[in-house]
Order: sequence, then C-alpha cells, then structure tokens
Amino acid sequence: MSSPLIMVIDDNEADHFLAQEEILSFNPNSEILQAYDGKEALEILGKLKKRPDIIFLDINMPVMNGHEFLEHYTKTKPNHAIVVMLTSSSQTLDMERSKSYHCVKAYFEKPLNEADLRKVLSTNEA
Amino acid sequence: MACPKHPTAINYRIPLPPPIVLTQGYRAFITYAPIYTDNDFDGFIVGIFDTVALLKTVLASDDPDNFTIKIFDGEKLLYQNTNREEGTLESNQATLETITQLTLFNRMWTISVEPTDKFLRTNKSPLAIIALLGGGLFALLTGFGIHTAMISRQRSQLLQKKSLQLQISENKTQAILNNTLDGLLTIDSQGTIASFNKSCEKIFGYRSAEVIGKKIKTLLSDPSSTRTQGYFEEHRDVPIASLLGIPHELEGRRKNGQRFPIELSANEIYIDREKLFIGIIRDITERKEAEEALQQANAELEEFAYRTSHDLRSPLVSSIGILNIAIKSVEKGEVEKTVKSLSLVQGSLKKLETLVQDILNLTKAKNIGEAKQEINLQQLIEESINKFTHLENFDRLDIQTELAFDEKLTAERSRLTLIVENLISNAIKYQDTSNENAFIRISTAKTDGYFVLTVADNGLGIPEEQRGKLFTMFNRFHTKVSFGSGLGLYMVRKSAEILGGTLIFDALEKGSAFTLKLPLSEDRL
Repeated sequence: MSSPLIMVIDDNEADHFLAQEEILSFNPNSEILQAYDGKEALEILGKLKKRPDIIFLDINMPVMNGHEFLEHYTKTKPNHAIVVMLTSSSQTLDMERSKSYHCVKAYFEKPLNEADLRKVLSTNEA
Repeated sequence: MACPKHPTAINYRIPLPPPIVLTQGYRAFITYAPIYTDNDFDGFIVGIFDTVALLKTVLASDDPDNFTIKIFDGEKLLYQNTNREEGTLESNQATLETITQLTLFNRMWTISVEPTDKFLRTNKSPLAIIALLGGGLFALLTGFGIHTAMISRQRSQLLQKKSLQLQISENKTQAILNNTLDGLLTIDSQGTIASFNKSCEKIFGYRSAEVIGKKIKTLLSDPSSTRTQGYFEEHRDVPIASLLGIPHELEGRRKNGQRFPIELSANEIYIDREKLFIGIIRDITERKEAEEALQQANAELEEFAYRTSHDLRSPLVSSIGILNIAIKSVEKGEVEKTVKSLSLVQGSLKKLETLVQDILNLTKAKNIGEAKQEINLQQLIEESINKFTHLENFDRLDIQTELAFDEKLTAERSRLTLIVENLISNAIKYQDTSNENAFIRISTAKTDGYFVLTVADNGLGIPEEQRGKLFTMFNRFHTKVSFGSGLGLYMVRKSAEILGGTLIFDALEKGSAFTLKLPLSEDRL
C-alpha cells in the first residue's frame, strides 16, 4: 500500500481529528500534516522537500482563509498539489471562487466521508 | 314861438306825403309836423329827407357786394344799395329774393333783399359742402370717440377687475408654488431655467435671479449634468419617455459646490404653443442615507444569517462525527481515544454556547432601549474582571487599573458592561503566553469633555493586514488560541455607537489598546 502525503488545513481541532480518523481508516499508511490556518500551511509547505499528494482546505479560518491561501499558493508554487475544498460552507460564491483555481479538483462539505475520500484518493493517487 | 305857460307840443301824427324828386335829382321825403303852443297852432316843422342818404345811414352795415337791398314806396324805387340799373321789383334771383311788405304812415313799403351774383358764386363752391361734410364727419368722429372712450373705460374697469382677480389667483399660485416642500422649476426647450421657486432656492442655495436664464446643468454635478442637459436640448421634439413622468435620481450641485442626491421628475407642457418642462426636484439626501443604512443593515443581516447558520451547524456536525468515533472507541476499549473524542465534543459545544450567547447579546445590544443610570465604574470593572478568573492563563496576567475619572457617569449600564467585558476577555484570551510580564492595563479619565476608558495589553495584537476587518462580524484573528465567535468587537463597536460614543483601536508596539470615548454633555441622544 502506498503512503500518500496528505495535508489538512483547518482552524478547528475537532475537524482535524475527524479528517485524520477518516483518512487513516481509509489508508493507515497515510502521512498527515496539520495546519491551523493558511499562513501556517504556507510556512509548512515552504519547508517540505516533497509536495503533498492532496491538500484538504477549509475556507473560514482566521489569519489567512482558504481563498487567500489559494491565491498565495498558486502564485508562489509552480508545481501544485491537488487541492480538495473541505468546508462547512455551502455558498455558491465560495464554491465558484475556489473552483476557478486549476489545482482545486473537488469541493466537499464537512464531515469528510469514506465515499468522497475514495473518489479523490483513487483517481488522484499516482 | 315858445309859450312860457304851455310847453310846446308836437303832433306826432306826422303825415308822409309821397316821395318827391328834388331839383338836385335826389329822391326825398318831405315831412311836416304841426306845432302847438298852449293849444294854439303855431305852425309846421318841415323836414326834407334825402332818402338815399337816410337809408345809407340806417343800413350802414349793409354789404353791397353780397346783398342787394331795394326799398320801394309803392311801385317807386326809393333806395338801392348798388348802382345797377334795376329799378324794378322783378328779380333775377327770384328764388333767393326775400320781399317784405309793410304799411307805415299809410303807405305801402316793399323791401327786397336778394343775394348778389358774387355772393352766389362764392356760396356755390364745394367749400360749404366740404365744411358741412367735414363738420358732420367731425361730429361723427367726436361721437365715435366718446363712444369708444366709454367702452374703453368700461373695458378698462373690467380689465382692472380681471387683472385684480388674476393677480390674486397668481399670488395664490405663487404662494402655493413657493410653499411646496419640493423644488419647482420650469425649463424652456433650450434647457434654460425659466422659473425657480423658493424651495429650489432653499435646496440649491441660489437666489432665483441668479439661475434664471442659466442652463439646467448649473444645478447638477458633472456626470449627471451632461446626460440631463441632453434630455432637454437634444430631444426637443421627441417626448422624452425615459425622463418624463418618471422620477430620476441624479446628483445635484449646490451653490457652495456641495453635491447631493436629488430626484427629478419632469413633464412637458405647452404654453402659447411653446414647449416648457416643469421639473419637480426633491432633496433625497436623508432618504438616500436611510436607504444606505438599510442596505448596510440588510447586508449585515444576510452575513449574519449565513455566518450563524454556518457557525452553528459546523460544531454540531463535527460533534456528531466525533461522537460516532467515541462510540466505536468505547466498544474497542480505547480509553485514550474516547477521552480525546469527548473533550473535542465538549470544546465544540462550548464554542457553540459562546456563539449562541454572543448572538443573544447582539440582539439585545441592537434592540433594547435601556434607561440611563449612574454607573459605579470601579464596581463595574471589578465585576467584569471577576467573571473571567476561570479563563485559561488568567492568573499569569498582571491586571492594572488606573481609574482617574472621578465624576458622575450616567449611561446605559448593560451596554457599558458588554463593552468592558468584551475588551477585558479579549485581552485575557489573546495574551502572549510566551511573555513573562504579560499585563492588562485598564484606565479611565476625563479628556476634553469625554469619558475615556482604555483597555491596553501587551498581547498578540492584531496583524496589520487584518486591521481593516477588526470591527466586522465573524472575524477571528488568532488561530488555535480561542474559540471566539468573531462577533465580540463588532458588538462592542455597535454598543459604543448606541451610547453615542466611539471605539477606536490603536496598535501598540507590542499588543493593542482599545479606547471607548463617551460624550459627557447631557444633550446626547
């Protein structure tokens, strides 16, 4: 079994815990990186040698929200990871804005479930 | 011959014998009268009268050029004022001859007067007719003149009466026009202002004399004016369906240059076949402000609805998910995981509780009209601090109070409490836990007639790029530090505004300072 590198960007501890549980139950070999806002995520990504396979990104976060993160990330990193929006916002505006980024491949509403995870991991895992 | 006893008497019954011809060839009368003295006959007085000389003297004023006068004694010509040899009664101007016969002194006298040829010639000229006609015409004209004058006088009286009525009516109309709250003006087909009522003067600050004759664009700001002037100038013959009858919002410009929103309703009218536009202008500054406030309130409400539904739902969603994990871990006997799950659920629910509390406070802050009361500031601040002693890291903070304000403060107590509590709890939650000397400094003072309360700290502060969003709803500025709802400072500022004061943020070199300023004068609302 492969060991994908997955990053979860969310300001909520409970949501981190849930995502982690779901990912690990799907693939126990997954390596999970946690960031609590966009800014922290950019800092972690800057230090990484290998780009993550998938980034799960929340939208409403303090300091730097999901939209701002995408803007910075797509500008500064030429080789993007696959980004999956994982948010409790069902606003069309949020959805359209994030989908305008090429690297954003899916838009999921919380909580992360096995079916959604399977869809993303099976199609995007090399 | 005179008799001393009896006056001399003359018998006036003088006989007149027929004329005689004197030897000199003149015709003459001989007349005689007997004279009596004392009834005795004394003799005769005899007078010989030259008839021609006598009559010439009597008829001294006759005009021999114009009239021929003949006097006959019986058949004999006694006198003729001309030298013509017409010694007969037969006249050449029988129709115009006037003959008078009279009997005097027992004799028949005939006096014939007839016009001479010269007179007739003169009087046959059209002058007389002209004079007559002229006179008739003059009389007619005079009559007409008098008639006209009478009618004219009548008319002028009627006109005066009508004019008075018109004046009254005009005054009434003017009074109505001048006292309408809306500005009324007329614009001619060249886009020139023709009239400007009192309300217009009030709205625009121009006297009517200053703008009459000027283009309508004088009253409008640049972007509006070009378009509006166009309506009145270019579409002269076309009914301006898009402008007429429909109120248009435009930007007006007052005499002092100030721009303000106006509503213009225009309609065209025809006076003496000349097209005029009547414009009704309303200053809609207040309406616009109200609209904007309403729009802002609406936008806030929408944001509020969206964010509350989102923020209320998300901790519930994660709690349900985590409780499922907790159930599984209990079944598996994984105590550590169970405890972690349950504490996360607890955290989510606490967050939810905070949010609900804030929403309730916000609703209160927005709606309750609370009576003012005297505030014991020291007590209020101490109670606020005591509420948060249970918060994490409270004990490591040095809380300093410096209450210099020593006057009576009256305010809406619960609103002021909300402000103070939020500022203090923020300072506690967002302290810098890495700093050994973390402090909160609460101070009050009186400055320039204001009550000033400042809560300063040397905590985490607000990142520079986030400061613009500081007082907006649902914005949190610190990750992993607290479970704030993002409503706190929004509520604080709203409350400060309701108290008639202001709340400002100052970024300190390290930390933040929030300052509440309330006016102390009694006249604040």
